[in-house]
Amino acid sequence: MTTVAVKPVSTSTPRRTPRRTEALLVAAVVLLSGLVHAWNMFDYPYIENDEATYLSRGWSFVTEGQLDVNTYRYDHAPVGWMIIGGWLGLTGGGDMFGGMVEAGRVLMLLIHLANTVLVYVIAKRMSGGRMSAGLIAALVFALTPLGIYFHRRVLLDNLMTVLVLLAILLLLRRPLTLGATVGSGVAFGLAVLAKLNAAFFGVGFLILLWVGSVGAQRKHAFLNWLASAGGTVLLFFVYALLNNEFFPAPLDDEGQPTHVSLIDTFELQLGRGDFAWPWDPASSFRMAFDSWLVKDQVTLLLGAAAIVGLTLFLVARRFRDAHILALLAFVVGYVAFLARGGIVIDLYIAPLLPFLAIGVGMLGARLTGLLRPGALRSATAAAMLVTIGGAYVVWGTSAHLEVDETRNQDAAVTWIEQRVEPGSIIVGDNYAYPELAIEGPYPDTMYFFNAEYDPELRDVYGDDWRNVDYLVLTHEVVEQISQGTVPRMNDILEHSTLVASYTDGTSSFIDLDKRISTNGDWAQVWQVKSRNQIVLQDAWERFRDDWVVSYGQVLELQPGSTTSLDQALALEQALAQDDEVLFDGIWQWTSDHLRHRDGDRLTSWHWAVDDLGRGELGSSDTVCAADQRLMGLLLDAATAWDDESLRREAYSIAVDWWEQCTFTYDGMTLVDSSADGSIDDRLVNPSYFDPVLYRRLADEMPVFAWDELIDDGYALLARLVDERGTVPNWVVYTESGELASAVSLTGDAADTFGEDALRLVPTLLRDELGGEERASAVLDAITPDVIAYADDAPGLGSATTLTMLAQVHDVGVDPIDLYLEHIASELDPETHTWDGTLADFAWLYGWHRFQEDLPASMTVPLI
Amino acid sequence: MSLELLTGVVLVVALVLLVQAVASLIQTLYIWDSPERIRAAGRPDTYEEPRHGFTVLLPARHEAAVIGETLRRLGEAQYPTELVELMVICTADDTATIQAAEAAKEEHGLDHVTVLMFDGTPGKSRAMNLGLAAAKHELITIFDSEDDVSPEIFSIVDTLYQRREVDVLQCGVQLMDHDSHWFSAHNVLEYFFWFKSRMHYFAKEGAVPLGGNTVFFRADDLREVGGWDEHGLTEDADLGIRLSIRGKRFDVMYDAEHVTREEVPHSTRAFVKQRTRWNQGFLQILRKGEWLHLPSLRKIVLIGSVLTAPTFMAIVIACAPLFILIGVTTKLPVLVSLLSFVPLILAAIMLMTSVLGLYEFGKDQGLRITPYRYLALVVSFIPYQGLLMFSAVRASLRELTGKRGWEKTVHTGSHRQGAHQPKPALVPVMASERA
Repeated sequence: MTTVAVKPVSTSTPRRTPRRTEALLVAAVVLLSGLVHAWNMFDYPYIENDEATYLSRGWSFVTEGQLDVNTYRYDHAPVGWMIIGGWLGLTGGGDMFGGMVEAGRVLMLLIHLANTVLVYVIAKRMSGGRMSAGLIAALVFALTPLGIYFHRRVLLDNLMTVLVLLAILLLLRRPLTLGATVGSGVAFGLAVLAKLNAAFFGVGFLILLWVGSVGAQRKHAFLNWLASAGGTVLLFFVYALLNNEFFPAPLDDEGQPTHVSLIDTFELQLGRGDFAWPWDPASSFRMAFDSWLVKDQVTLLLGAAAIVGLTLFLVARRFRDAHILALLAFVVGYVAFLARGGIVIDLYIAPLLPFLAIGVGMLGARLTGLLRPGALRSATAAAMLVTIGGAYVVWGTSAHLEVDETRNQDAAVTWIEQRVEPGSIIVGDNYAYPELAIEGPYPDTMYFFNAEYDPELRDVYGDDWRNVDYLVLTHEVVEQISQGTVPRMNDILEHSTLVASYTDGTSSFIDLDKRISTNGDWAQVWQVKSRNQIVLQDAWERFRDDWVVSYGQVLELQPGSTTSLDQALALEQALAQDDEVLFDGIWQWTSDHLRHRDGDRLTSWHWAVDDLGRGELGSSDTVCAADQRLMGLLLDAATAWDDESLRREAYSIAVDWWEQCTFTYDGMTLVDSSADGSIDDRLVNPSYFDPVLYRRLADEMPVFAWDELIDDGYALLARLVDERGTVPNWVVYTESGELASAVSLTGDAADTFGEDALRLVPTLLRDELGGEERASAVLDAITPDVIAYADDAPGLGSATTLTMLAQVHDVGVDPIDLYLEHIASELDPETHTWDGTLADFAWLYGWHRFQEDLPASMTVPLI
Repeated sequence: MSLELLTGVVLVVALVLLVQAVASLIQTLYIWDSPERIRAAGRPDTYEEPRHGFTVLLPARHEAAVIGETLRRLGEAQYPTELVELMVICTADDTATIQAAEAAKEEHGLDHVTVLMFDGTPGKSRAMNLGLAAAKHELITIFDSEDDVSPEIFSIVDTLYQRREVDVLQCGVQLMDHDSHWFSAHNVLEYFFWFKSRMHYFAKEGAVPLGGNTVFFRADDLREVGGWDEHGLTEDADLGIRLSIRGKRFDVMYDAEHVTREEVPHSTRAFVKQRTRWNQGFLQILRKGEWLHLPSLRKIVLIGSVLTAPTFMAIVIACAPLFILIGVTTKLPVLVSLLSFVPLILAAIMLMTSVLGLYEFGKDQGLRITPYRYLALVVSFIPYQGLLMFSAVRASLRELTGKRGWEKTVHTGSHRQGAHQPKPALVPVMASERA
């Protein structure tokens, strides 16, 4: 018997590529995908807030069995970070890869590789086993810069994607078994529990189920898929129910829910953002879409072409290509979610990309499928691969392979580790959390959003943002602040000083005043000001809003006057708060309106405004105390803002001031205090004596005899104490060298210790702290007068002065009690500042300003 | 009791329930897992030339009313009569049945009918063992006297024995009157899933608790294992296990058209009695311990779980008040509570699968199932579970107190009204709708 070798009929069966060739080609694409993903993946893109959030939640899950670091708020279902937690547990937290964020990104690399393989197999199976479909799809998926940007990040969307793709693959098993169906349902349920928006892929699954199942099996397939997916998702809701956190909680006295609830959170999230049509340029979809176009036009174009092309194929084939139908359902379902009119965050695009890639692959295979199997077809498919690869090389960005976006973020964390005391309360971008709180000595590091809203965390800083020590400011924090979602963070930023700024090589446009940042590749550390500085800052805002009018006039409507001392007070605050524009305005206004005296450039003390708001010079007389302060302020401003013109102004004033405001008699050089600036009467107000200021001026303008002024001023005070037992408000230095009463010139109060003399106290205290013993002697002498005056003439002047004295000297009263009774009581807890008249303001401001000059041991704790 | 202990108990119960529910679902859905299995489970499309001879054992006791009809139908089987022996077996004092059988033989000219009489204690197993000893053909099968058997059954079985390597073949048995009682739809579906799907699973595993009739054996195999156990209440399942221990090859055939049709117990009380008997029978088999000699652990676990399932459920139900007390008075860890919730989801899936099963049953048998029936199925789901629990508890108590008597179910023939129509295989089914 002879055997006849029968050659199989090859025309009816498609030409099959040998399995080894396929394995090699797939390995090559996966390797390419892995390389493109892994190269530079720790440095680009910048570490997004959410990445650290999910990492720390995962760590919390695997180490403590908690679903969140603090209270779990049902903001996302937890499966995503359960997986991340499992990975961190396996790899020992950040140990294996040099940090938690790095460990997370390695996990994302693995996920990406899995996704590449899944994309390959799915595209192939949905194209009748055509390898070219898989290769094209996997290539697009591997090279899309938009994909790389988000796939590298530790995002729930990436974990959701791998579960969705797995669920699809299981339904593509042939023959479809119920086991695979149940597996697919569970995988899809888990995908939804990794990121809820996976639900929008649901319709496509139903089509795949219909196509995959046969006859009597179909209904069971549907039932079991729906039941296993639904049952899996249901467990999340049951979890909330079992925790008694499903239904909204009863409200407490302040109208706040007493605990978190799933329904509350869902309501909050559904209500986020206003509806806007997707084509509205201001809609969040359009803004996200524009950002995608910037990152990657190639994939979006290819994807759009695939969708259009596949739709045409579907129509041409009279809707008889169920796999095209399924793919369109996946894409359309998810695009419907993106375009629903609610909030769209740029990363939402990530789960769509594998489907666009699969679509491109499917279209490619269907196009080449129009050719006969053979060399031409293979060559066409190869040409497509090369063209697509080339398109990415030519038009795609290569930023993901080159740019280091995390350097600044790392530097900011390092700065904190080197400079900030362990245990400090740090709020800010969560990217710093794992390194600072989990791996470092700052357990009170908080994600700014939770710091704002989580009652547990608010307890940590006593529900008072002034207790926060540092703010780690990044793009994401700025963005939330600008959206108004975190008002406390705004307060913190406004009351902090920049202590470290890392913006090297950033591609971001940053304008913090306008709360604008365009990219996250920078980081700053801000230190929250002391309570006293916060009061001073808020006080300045209040001052500015209530009393500064025009371009720099300090006007109190009742009684309708502006004084040179008020202007000086405004300049002092503007300088302290670094408000150069307003400083210049105030000085300009002062110069324009008050410096028109004949013969000198000193400042007239009074500008009067009538009921109709019309103003005129009330008096051309100068007040020498105001002029000397202006001199000092101009010099300080000149230094602070490097403005030589201000220094020249100060010099010109100094010349006139020495001419007009001082007199020398009998070897004594004293400051003249007569209201008209003439030296005829030799009227002296001892409180104009400011040795601290003179010492500073002596450094700047050594041509004048400042030291003499200081020595003689102390000599005068010593003489007054000696002769009168106190320092009076006014005194006349007569031609015979006697210290005569000034009652005839300035009224009954002239000879007593009173409102004017009080002002000498802080000046002398400052000088005493600088080591001046003569100041101590005077202070000792007048202490009883200060105490007595506080009793006789209770008011902010006497109270604030006594408190300052009590802080430095033992006067038998506790300064804390004085502070609480007289100063803290004036504070409005809402605005952190005080109401009242300009005079009241000046006293309170004076006290708080004085705190800045005190050593810490002498300050009182502010409320 | 400490919280840890409570948690442990709940955890164990929940886990066992979970495993059992999953296993039950896997078995129930076994046949639908893939189209391949659905195809393989049915009857062959063509028949071989008849080769095997059949001895049909018809153990009867006071069944004069139906035995004649049964013989007439079996006589209509499309298979050479020389290859078939219809053996009515009854006690010698059951003269009414003997006369009815003889009359049928005369009236319908059934030469291949024999009547085997015996003295002494009546009993189905004893009757069958005697029948086995007297059987002249190589394949043995059993029908109950009230069974509606397909005329093609011998051709089908003969073909399967020729084409496949099979020692024991279980053919489908199906209760038909799904709307005769409040519980009948569930009972019907139990048969439906049991014979259409679960049996296939057991056959694949090689460990099968056989059904009571329409089972085909090789006479040699039966003699090898010593025939039926004359003391047990469920001698059929027992025999299946003993054949499994010997490594016999099992196969199952369920074809909607060729199932053996039976009726639902005529009352709730009868149902409970029947179910009690089965459950108690399982307990007896369990007690005998032969099943522990099954050749692999997998088979032991499988059979063990089948035998213990009713009792376990009974224990769980008996403990239900305790669990409720625990649930009300203590706060268990959320994950434990969550886990104990999973079997509930699986029970819901089981219920939905039953609804689908009812639809398929109707489609298989050409019955119109009204929406009301589906609703009734859902509504009666929990009461039916209660009935099963009650029977299980009852069986356990009877077994514990040593009551091991036989509570026989009465057959009224409600599944075969219109019995004298020319095509009996189909017509009674339609008739049952009116019942």
